[in-house]
Amino acid sequence: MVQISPSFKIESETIDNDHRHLVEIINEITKAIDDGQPGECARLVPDFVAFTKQHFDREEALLAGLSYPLLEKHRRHHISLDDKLQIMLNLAARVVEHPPARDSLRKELVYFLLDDVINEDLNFKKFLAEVETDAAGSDK
Amino acid sequence: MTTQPVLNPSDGLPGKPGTRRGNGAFWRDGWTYGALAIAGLAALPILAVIFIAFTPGDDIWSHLATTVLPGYIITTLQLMAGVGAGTLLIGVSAAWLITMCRFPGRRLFEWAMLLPMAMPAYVIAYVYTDILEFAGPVQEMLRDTFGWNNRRDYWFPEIRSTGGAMAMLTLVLYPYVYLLARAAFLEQSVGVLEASRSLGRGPWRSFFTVALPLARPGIVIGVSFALMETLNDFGTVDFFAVNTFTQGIFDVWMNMNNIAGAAQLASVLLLFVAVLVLSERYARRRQRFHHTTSKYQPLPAYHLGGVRGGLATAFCAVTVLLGFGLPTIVLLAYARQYFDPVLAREILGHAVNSVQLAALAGFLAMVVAIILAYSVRIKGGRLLTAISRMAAFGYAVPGAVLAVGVMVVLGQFDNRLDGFMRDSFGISTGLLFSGTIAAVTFGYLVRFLALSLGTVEAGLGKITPSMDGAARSLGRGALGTMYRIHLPLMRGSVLTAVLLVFVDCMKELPMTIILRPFNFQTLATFVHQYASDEQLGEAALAALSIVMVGILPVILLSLVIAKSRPGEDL
Amino acid sequence: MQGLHIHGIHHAYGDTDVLNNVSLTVPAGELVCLLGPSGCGKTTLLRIAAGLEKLQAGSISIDESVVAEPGLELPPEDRKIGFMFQDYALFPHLTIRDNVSFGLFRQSKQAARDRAMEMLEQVGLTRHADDYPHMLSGGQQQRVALARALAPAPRLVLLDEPFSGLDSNMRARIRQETLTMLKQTNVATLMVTHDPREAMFMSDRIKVMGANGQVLQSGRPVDIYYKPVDEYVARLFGPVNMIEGPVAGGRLETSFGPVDSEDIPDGQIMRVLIRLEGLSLHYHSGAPTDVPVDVLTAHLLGDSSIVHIRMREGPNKGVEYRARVHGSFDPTAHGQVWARVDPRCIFQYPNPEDGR
Ligand SMILES: Nc1ncnc2c1ncn2[C@@H]1O[C@H](COP(=O)(O)OP(=O)(O)OP(=O)(O)O)[C@@H](O)[C@H]1O
Ligand SMILES: [Fe+2]
Ligand SMILES: [Fe+2]
Ligand SMILES: [Mg+2]
Repeated sequence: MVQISPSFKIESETIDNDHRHLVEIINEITKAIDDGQPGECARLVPDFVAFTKQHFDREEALLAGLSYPLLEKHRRHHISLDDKLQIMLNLAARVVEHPPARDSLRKELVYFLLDDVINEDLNFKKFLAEVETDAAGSDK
Repeated sequence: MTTQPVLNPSDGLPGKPGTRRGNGAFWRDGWTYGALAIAGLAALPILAVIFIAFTPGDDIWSHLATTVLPGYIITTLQLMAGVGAGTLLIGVSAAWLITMCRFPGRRLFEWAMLLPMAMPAYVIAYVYTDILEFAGPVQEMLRDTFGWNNRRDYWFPEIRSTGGAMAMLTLVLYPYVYLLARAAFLEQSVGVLEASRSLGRGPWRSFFTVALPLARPGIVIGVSFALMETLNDFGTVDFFAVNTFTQGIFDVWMNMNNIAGAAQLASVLLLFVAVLVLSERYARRRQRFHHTTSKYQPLPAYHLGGVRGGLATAFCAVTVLLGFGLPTIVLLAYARQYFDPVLAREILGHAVNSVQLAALAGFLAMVVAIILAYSVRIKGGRLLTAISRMAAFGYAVPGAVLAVGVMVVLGQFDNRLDGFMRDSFGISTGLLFSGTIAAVTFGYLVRFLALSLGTVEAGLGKITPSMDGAARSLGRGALGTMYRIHLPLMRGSVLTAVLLVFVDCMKELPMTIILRPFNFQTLATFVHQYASDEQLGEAALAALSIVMVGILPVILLSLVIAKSRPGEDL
Repeated sequence: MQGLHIHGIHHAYGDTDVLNNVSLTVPAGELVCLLGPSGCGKTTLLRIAAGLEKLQAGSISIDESVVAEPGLELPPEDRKIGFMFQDYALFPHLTIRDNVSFGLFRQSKQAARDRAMEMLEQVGLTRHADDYPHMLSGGQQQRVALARALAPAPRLVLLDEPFSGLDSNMRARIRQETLTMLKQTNVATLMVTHDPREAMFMSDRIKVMGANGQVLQSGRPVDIYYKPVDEYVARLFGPVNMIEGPVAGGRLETSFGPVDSEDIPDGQIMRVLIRLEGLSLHYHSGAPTDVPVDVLTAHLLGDSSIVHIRMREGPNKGVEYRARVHGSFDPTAHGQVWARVDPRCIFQYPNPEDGR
């Protein structure tokens, strides 16, 4: 079971919820692999990929709304992850026939989410926190 | 799906409850504070001297300035110039001959040239006075040979003079220059010398135009050390009645009982010291650029045969003989002649005092040096490096100055404590530290800390930092790592550190005289007292003991020298 | 997540920046390799993770608890890590057994002894328990260092070029042994190396660092090898053949056939890199894309040969390239030789000197 430990939290409800949902899909995929249902697993991966793309869009829109100065860089990062999403789809296509692909897939999903997605998102965590305190300050 | 936020890095609030920041941080800061405290204590006597000197009071400054001061300055400068020139000449010549030439007895002299280091200047001053004064054997022999009757019949140099003091100090201090010049010559790239010769310069011109300039930083350091020791000397100048600063400080302190005056003189002396320290530091910085190569290369050897070889041998032999051999023989002879069991027992008592005191100081200096060196190692940083430098500054300060400082500091402390205890508890503690073993030990520590610090630092430097990392990552704290890894690995350096300080404390005279408890004698003060009364015979056994102890570091140095040139032939 | 999480590490010595926003994740049981050129800050990162170097910016968590962030710094002894140094750092005054049990001082003497012997048995060195480090060979010392680091059951193992001191035959064996042991203990491992083959062999994930202390690419070994993000990463794994030329009509013509450059404007100079093993040589033309070449020389390396070829036709006619072929290759044995490109081993990047 993967969990989002505190050090991976962005402290933005929208984004953290999305990330948490991605974790849930990964855990379902893991469970399917463990339960010997690779077919189920192959079906879930495209969901994961689709939700990831939605999440990227949502995240970019949120950051654009707040005029995040490094948005362009982060957008390019999201685009560069397309290859990895493709890799995961390829792996998913093989999990039914090739048991070794299952382990690869599981590992790759975890690294993808924690290292490629969230570790990069953490770069704007401070920005979000500052925007929030500014907003709180002007409310008063 | 999410876990409890036990620790959340985004809170960004320093000092969150429940996090373990203390443990390691405290200890590491403990090291800094320890180092700071040590350096502060070490600097206190020197600061006290300067402070007292500049405190307006019953000002005898103008009095000093018009009466004795010019004389002190001139004499001190004369002495420094003479010793500087003498040690330079002997030290550099010996170093050049021994590193670059081959002549009979070279291997022996390589380490034997160091023997005079074992001889305190005041001891050979007593010995040579005994031999060379009017009633001494030399002049007696001259009179017998030539039929002279009294002083008016012939001229003979007066040993108890500024010139005599120069000679005595030169004879025992040249090894500093020899050691450092030798090291500097060894480090030089042979290629540089060979290039010079291939460009048509002869060996002598090559020496003066290439080798000497390259070795200059090392030589400057050596001469600085010799001059620091010259300023420190009290026994010789006192005995010869040469009015240097150190002598003057004693005079104003002991005879006129004037602290402020002594402190003022001491401050001026500190200026001299500052010049020496700065030139030494400057030379050290330059030394780094002068390392032309670190690779071991056999040096070319100029084979000196026939007369030239004989002259080289004679030069070295005479130097060692004068600086060490002759005085030792004389002392041995006296020690036999004047041997007396009662006196011997008394001397044994003084020896026990000396050994206890020196061992205590050696041990404490080692502990303090380890604390300093280790905090620099684990904390690093410019501040700590500067602190440890400051703590080691005492090596340059003459014993008489430090002694005045220690007296002032402890006197102040004792008075305050006494006052406080009286006011609060109605008890008088009196002078708790002044005039005790503690005072002497404190003085020794301040003056000789640099010796043990240098040794410990060198030993620690040989242990790769990954050892620390390995021990720390395996769960040992800083102290545990030091106890289990560093101390066992640098046992040799630790012992050397203790030994070096021990030996110098055994020889130390000016601070011991000023700071010792009433009626407390060490070997050094005993020798001083008897020899000053022209009773060298009775003092010989004690003097000889000091010399024998002094040989220990010479042996140590020779071993280092033997190891430093692995592939050497001949 | 159990394991190591590092985020946003910046580090400078004086005015020199060494690490530039480095983040990484090592789940428990996994091995991640930092691969980068000498001086790019790999050792520095390990030392920061271990607490041997003060953290300047960023955060480090091990097994879900923060061990370092601005304002908080757990000393190395409280981090429960095993650090294996490049020089092994065995304690020369302690026996092998005492070295291994050095970190076990919180246990009873007997327990520590048993654990040390158990570890020594795993690395096959029980016979040397009472020897001193200098009596052991380099490979044996390496194994002692590993046993010592793993004995206290750390949460994280840090390896700094653990095999660099070994000769190449020994290295392959010790690598395998080390990997097996690490996988058995299911510990998170971060390893540093500048040997790409070693990184590929050992790791679940590679982080390629550039000389500026930045992470250039992260991924499985196979992705780093076959999908390098830039020329620098592509060249990391050894020499390549290079073809330069302008894009025309969405493609770049080479003697080996056209390379697709769809999104790139016409006229832009592109650089095509082909790994040596991306060129295979055949005595018969088996595919329409095969191109005839002249063989100049062949050097046998043992398991493979480097063959110098010259193009007979096409836009790069007369240019020489190198191919790596399996086994030995005799240029005199046959007549016509054909070269074929493995599309997985061909990469293209914009020419760095081309400003457009
Ligand atoms: N204590 C230090 N003080 C100043 N600079 C340092 C220090 N330690 C390392 N450096 C510098 O920081 C840079 C990174 O050093 P580091 O040892 O982390 O590199 P590395 O990637 O491990 O290299 P290698 O592969 O050679 O081991 C180097 O340029 C080095 O010179
Ligand atoms: Fe995200
Ligand atoms: Fe993102
Ligand atoms: Mg390194």
